[in-house]
Amino acid sequence: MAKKTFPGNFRSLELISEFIVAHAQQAGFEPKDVYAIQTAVDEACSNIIDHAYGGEDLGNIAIKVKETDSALQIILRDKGKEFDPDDVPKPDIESPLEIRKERGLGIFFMRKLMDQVIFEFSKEKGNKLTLIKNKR
Amino acid sequence: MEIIITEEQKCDVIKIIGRIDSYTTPNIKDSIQNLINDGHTNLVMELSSVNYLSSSGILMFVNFHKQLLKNKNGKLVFSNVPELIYSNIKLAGFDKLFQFADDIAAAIDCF
Repeated sequence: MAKKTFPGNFRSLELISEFIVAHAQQAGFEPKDVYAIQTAVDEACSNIIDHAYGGEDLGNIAIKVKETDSALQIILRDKGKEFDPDDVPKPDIESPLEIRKERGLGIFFMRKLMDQVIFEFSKEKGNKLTLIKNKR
Repeated sequence: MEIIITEEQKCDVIKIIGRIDSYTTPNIKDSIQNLINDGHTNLVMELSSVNYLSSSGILMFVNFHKQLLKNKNGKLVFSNVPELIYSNIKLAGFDKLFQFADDIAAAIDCF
């Protein structure tokens, strides 16, 4: 298991990606799945900064990566305000370009690219987001 | 992240190098918007050296494409999009909305 804490700003995203990619590769995932995991974590961290903290440098993002025989589990924690994924409208991926509303694409990616996405919140510990990718 | 803009006869080729994420998207957005404001509205986005494209980057391209189509004076064409990046564009349903060319010459021919 590996643990690392990053400042909650957009400059951290590249370092977070490097950290995640290294662990996903080490766990034996193929490039397509490594990119999927990288995307899901990047979108999750952008959401934490934008929505949970409501801006940059207002708190940290703690990341825990755990590999099991069957999966890679990534746990993201922040101390921002409760993030309710149901508050984010589902993306519209079928309407014509001119009338499409572009929102919620980050969560859509997380759910499509990972096998499990679990949002939890407690007043003491803040938001906990668990992302799980199964090994094939 | 680096942006290299080359002016061709009928269009501008915008080569982006590095990551397109929530950190770099605002700078890329400014560069492209400045080009459009200066009357450059036929744009080739050359992504061969991009190693990551987030949803914020995808939506930036969608919004520029919309802006150009709405004013009926130009469009945005992609060239050399790496497979993994294309797969996320496709997952978001935007693969049908853009033109994708295999190389810069083919992208320039779209104008």
